[in-house]
Order: sequence, then structure tokens, then C-alpha cells
Amino acid sequence: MAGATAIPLIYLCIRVAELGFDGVGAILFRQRTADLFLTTMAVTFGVAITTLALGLGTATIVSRVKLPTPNLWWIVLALPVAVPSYVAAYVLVSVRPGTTGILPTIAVISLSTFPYVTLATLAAFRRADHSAADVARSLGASELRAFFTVTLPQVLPAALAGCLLSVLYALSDYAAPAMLRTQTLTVGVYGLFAGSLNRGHAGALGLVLVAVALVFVALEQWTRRRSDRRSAAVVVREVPQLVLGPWKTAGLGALVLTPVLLVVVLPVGILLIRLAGGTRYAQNLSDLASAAATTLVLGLVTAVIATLAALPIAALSARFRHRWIRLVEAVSFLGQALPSVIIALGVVFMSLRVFPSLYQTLPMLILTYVVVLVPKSIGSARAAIQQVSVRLPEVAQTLGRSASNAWWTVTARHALPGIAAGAVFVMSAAMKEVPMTLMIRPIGVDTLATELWTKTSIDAYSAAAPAALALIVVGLAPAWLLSRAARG
Amino acid sequence: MTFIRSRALLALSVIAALTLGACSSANNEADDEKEDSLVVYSGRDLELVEPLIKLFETKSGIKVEIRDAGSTELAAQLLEEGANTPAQVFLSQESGALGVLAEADLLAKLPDSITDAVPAEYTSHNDTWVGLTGRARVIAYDSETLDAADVPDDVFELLEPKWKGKFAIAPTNASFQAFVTALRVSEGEEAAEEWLKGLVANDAQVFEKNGAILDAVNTGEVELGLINHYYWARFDGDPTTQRAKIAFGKPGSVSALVNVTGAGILTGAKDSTAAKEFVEFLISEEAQTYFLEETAEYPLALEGQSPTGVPALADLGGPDIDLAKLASLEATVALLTKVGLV
Repeated sequence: MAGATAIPLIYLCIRVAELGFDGVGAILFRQRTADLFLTTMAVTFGVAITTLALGLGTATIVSRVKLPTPNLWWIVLALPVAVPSYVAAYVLVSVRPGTTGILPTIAVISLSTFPYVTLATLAAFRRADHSAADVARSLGASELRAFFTVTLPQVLPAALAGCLLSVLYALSDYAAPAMLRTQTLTVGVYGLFAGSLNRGHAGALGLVLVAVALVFVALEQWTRRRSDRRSAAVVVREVPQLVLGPWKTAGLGALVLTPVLLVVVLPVGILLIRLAGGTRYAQNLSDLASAAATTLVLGLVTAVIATLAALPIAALSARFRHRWIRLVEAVSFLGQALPSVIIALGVVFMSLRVFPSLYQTLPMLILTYVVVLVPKSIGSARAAIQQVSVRLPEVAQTLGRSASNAWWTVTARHALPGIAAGAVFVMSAAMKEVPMTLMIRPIGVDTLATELWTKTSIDAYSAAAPAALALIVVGLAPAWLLSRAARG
Repeated sequence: MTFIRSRALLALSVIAALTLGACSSANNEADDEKEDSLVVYSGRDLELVEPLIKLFETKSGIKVEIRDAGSTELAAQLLEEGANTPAQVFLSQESGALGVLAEADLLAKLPDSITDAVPAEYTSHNDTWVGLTGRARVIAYDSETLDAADVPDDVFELLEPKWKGKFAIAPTNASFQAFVTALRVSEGEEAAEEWLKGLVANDAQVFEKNGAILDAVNTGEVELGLINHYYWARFDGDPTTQRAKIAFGKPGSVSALVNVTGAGILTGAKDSTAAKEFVEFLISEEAQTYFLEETAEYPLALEGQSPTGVPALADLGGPDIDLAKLASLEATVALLTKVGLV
């Protein structure tokens, strides 16, 4: 599995190698590459800071303040990942024509990916050792100081793991920056590829993306190593919550809801209004229903298999600092930074060589999703496992349980909210996926994302509204499962 | 959720996957036995070709299985698949992708009965693919700020100071690149480079694709946009109600270039009667009339017929060059790379 996640990178290297040193140099050493690089750095740093702020902010409010219907907030905050960033970008451009540039791009990508941070952090708050904060307060620290110095460092690894996913998404996203006319490296890769189909030229520029991703992956691993590991709690209590007055509670609730309204409710509303304007491209509701069912099954199967596949990597990297484990983890993340069309071509290349008889069948489509999306569940699962004290399964073993039994019933069970958050990331990514689905799906199998693509590729966004809406409704399923897992 | 329940969920998922898998593989087996079905990779907008394909299925009794994606992506996929491709026919939105596949020896030679149906300047020079429809390069303009008479009919006018920052191009789009190729061949390398540099210097607004440019003209974000007339005509409603109107280039000049969409048969399907029947259908009067009336394209096999409201094909038409020639495409991309547009 760890080797399979390197497929996009291997493919990239093969295509770039055909180009030779001079060819690569001609692409890399020029003004445009420098411009693309700088724009990309601005966008990714912006997304990193914004998603951390939004994610930590929303997660802190929801877990530390007593709000009505506590479990509903998990569902609400998971919804933005169901909205493809290009739909959000399209709505922004149609509401404010002429919107272009780095800041709107950061806003759109951050709003559609901040739940990566929120959900991982919420899960981490569940596992945090709040008694340590009590101790700090009893020693005279203020509420705020105790939070920042004792509680926050415990959830930070999870938040950073989520943030890394947002950053990798920002690096790999084509449609949203292209629509907002921000020339990022991925937009550049598509540009080089579109004219003469020269995959070598595109791949050479892709190498820069991998290099940028490497910096962020290393940065995340470095901050994680610096964070405190001894704080794993043995006894977990209910998170102590602040009870505020009705106005303050309503205000904070509204604050948490704002990003969700902006990226979920507003786009759906606008698309629905547009729906009335379109006349030409027909809607077929039974097609949509069967696409929704296919999407749900594919997403669920992928999430379950990918989560199980991620657990060994997550468990190892949570407990051991060996550099091979770090390397496996890093390689699996790097592929996430590549434009999805390159990943898709890598999968075509590899699956025809390894499993030709499975090419363009459903098992291959699911396998593809698993291999490509498995890194999305590693970070959150690892952070959760790290928070479970190693003493807990040891106690279980002294009470007569086998090592594997103790791991499943104690460690995995305590880490479940974090593992489930990772599963949600995989599931929603699988349900939104387009380029690989178009190339690998069996002919005749439509998902909501491909239905949406068919409509949006002819710019019939009004006709795209039902599919977009259905994608969000189907996105409720993983969010609901997550809220159940978090409660358990 | 307990561990037991998650195990039940896993079992359920595996069963679902196997069932779906079994269904899909059962389909595949049926396909191999007799030629009553056809696999088509289509880069054309599915919503707009689906009615045509349904018509073919009814007439021929052949079931058409369509893999629908972008022309560029599908061509790249075909290059990766090589001889292992399940595709029998490739329908492309642009001739460049067909040219790249022909260069890689992935397209079979078409019978003369097919290639002779289309004027030689709008089809491949070595009979590896056939042109189906033509799309004129046009300048879309904002009818609220401009009159038709104000709109340049020569792309070199875009370099004038009055258009600075007010016009849009899509330099990574195949249709724009085909235009640059035509410019290189007809006006010379230097003139083409000067023009491209002039666009950058005159602050051309760079967009991702034709559709996005049209949206920007429709909202008044830019005054002019270089697109294909097809994108204006496929509007979700009556095209003439749009704020954007279109102006055609000066007849006979490179500004009046016509881009070609086409179809080719993959090498592995060179003996397939179904593939041949399908391509023959696409150049038949019935299919060509569909393109003329429903997608407002120039039907290349119906001589002298043009969609309503646009100039006759004979009055447009660019220089007689092979826009799909790979060496030429690569030179165009190299030039665009040099001026920093891609």
C-alpha cells in the first residue's frame, strides 16, 4: 500500500526522464516558472494560515462552549468538504464578476477545505487531557493562558495534519485558481500539457510542485516532532464547557456558521436560482438518483478500505520516530500535491501494466480511489492514536487480552473520532473526484461529480444545480456517521 | 460506533463492491462476442452529442458506449493506453489532439469514402481522421459598450492602446493555440512572436477557456474576447439574448480562421464495421444537419451550408495548412512558452 501511493510520483519521474536534463532545464529556468512559483507560495501560505485560523477557531468554540445540539455541529462543520472548490469559485465569479487574484483564491480554497482542520481538531479535543489545564489553573494560570499553553499544544498535531491536507489541496487544485485567473503551478502544468499533450514538459513543472509539497510535509513533521508527546491522557473526561449567556452563545454560534453559510448555503441558493433561468439542458431526476446511489456506495467502500489501509501507517508513525516511517508517510503525501490529471494518467499507465484485466472496472476504480486518497486519512488517525496513552492497551494486556485485541478494542476505539474524521475526508474526496473517475470508471457508471462535470464543462451551471445539491445532500452521510463515531 | 458495527459496515461494503464489480464485468463479456456495440471516447460536450448518438443507436442497432471527458485528457489517456485501448473511435473537440494521436500511429487509415466527403483543407492530410464540423474564430464583444463597427476584424488591431487591458484570451486552450499555429504559418514566425508579445504588453486578460471568456464579456468584465463561435451558440437558452455578441474576422485573413472538430478510428479497431458505420453516420446528411441546426457549427460534409446568422464558410476559412501537425503544435507551444503565456 505504501508503495502504491508512490504511483503518481513514479509516473512523473518516468515522463520527465524522457525529457532529459536540457529539456527539464528549459522549462524550469525561466521567468514564468518563477512567477508561478511565487503565486503558488502566496496561495498555499495563505491557505495554511486561513484554514488553521478557521479550523482551530470553529473547533475551539464548538468543543469549549456549550452550544445547543452539540452533535449537529460536527455534521454542519463537515459539510463544506462536500462542495467542490470550483463550484464555490464559480459562484463567487458570478456574484461578483471580475473577481480575480490571490486573495479570492485563498478564500475559496480555505472555505472549502477548513473542515480538514476543524474535524481533526474536534476529535483531538475529545481526547485531550483537560486535567492538565485544571492543574495549570490551580497553579494560578488564567483560563486563556491554561488553554494556550496546556490544551492547545495537545490538539495542535491534529490541526497541523488537517492543515497539511488543505495545503496539498491548494497545491493540486486546478479549476478554482483557473476560474479566478490565478496562475499557480498547477494551472501552469495544465497549460503546458493542453497544447501538444507533452507530458514531459508538464511533468517537469510538476516537479516544482513536488518540491513545494516536500517543504510543507517536512514543516509539518518538524512541528509535530517538537510538540509534546507525553500528554497522552489515561483517563478521558467529558470536555469541560463554558456556559455563556444566550447572546454570547448565539453570537459564537453565528460565527461558526458563517463560513458554512458562505461556502454551502450561498452557492446552493444561487445555483437553485439559476436553475430557473436555464432552458436547454434537460434534467433527468432518475439518472441523478442512481448517480447519487453509486456515489454513496463508492464513497463508503473507499472510505472503509482506505481507513483500514491507513491504520498501519498511522499506528506506526504515531508510536515510532524511525526515518523510514517518516519517509513512507512523506511519499504518500507528496502525490497529493500533483494535479489530478497527472495522477489519473499515472494510474492509467500503472494499471494497464499491473492489472490489465481490471482496467476500467469498478474494483480498479475503488482501488484507485484508495491508493490516491489514503493519505487523507493518515494524518487525522495518527494524531488520534498518538493521543491514546500507550499504557491503556498495556493495561488491557495485563488483564489477559492479546496484543492485537488490545489494540483494536482499546487504542483504536479511543482513537475512533480521529480515525472517523479521516474516513470522512476520504469519503468526501472520493465522492467529489473527477479526472480519475472519468478515465477509470466503467462506461455507463455515473457519479454525481461526473454529472456535475458534464454540466459545468459546457458552462451550463444552472443545469448543474441539482447535481451540486445532491452532492451536498449525499455529503451529509459521512458527516452523520462522523458525529455518531464522535459521540461513541 | 462500536468495532463490531464497523466490521459489519466493512462486510457490507465488500459485498457491495463485489456486486457492482460483477455487474460491470458481465457487461464486458457480452461486448466481446459480436459487434453489436462500440466504444467511443468522446471529447465533445456530451449533452450536445447525446441526441445524435441515440439516433445512431436506433438506426444501426449498435449500442454506443461513451467515455466522456475533455478532448485533451482523452487524447493523453489514449497515448498512455497505446495498443491496449478499449476505445474504437475518438471524437475530438479539436484537430490538434487527433494530430498527436495520428503522429503516434494510434489512428487507422480511413477509407476514401469517408475522407472524400469533406473538403481537403478541413481534414487530415494522411486520411487518419476526418473533419466533422468547423468553428469560426470570432471576437465576442460587449454589446452594451460597443457597436459591431467598433470591433476589430483583424486580430492585430488588438495591439492598439485603446484596447489595453480590455480584451481576453485563453492561451492554454487548444483553439487559441491552433490560431497561433495558423498565424505562424501564414504571417511568419516573427510576426506571430511580435503579436504574442504585443498581447502581453497590451495587458491581455488571461482566462482558462472559451466559456469563461464568454461569461466575462457577458458580465462586462472585459469588452472583447477571442473565442470560437460555437461557445456563443451553445448558450443555455437563446444565444441572441446574450449581452455578448460576436464579430467575425476579415474574410480570407487569418483572423477568419476556422477550427475543425473531427473523428478517428483507433488502430486496434481498423477492421471494425461498427466503428466505420459510426464515422460514416457522423458525415451523413442527417448528422451533419444536426450539427448545423443544433450546435450551430459548420457542417463540413454539407457543402455551402452555414448556420443561421454567420458568414458562409467560403467567406471565412484560414490558410490551407495542417493545424494538427505535431511538429507545428510543438513549435507553437514553444513560442507561447518563450513569451511566457504558458
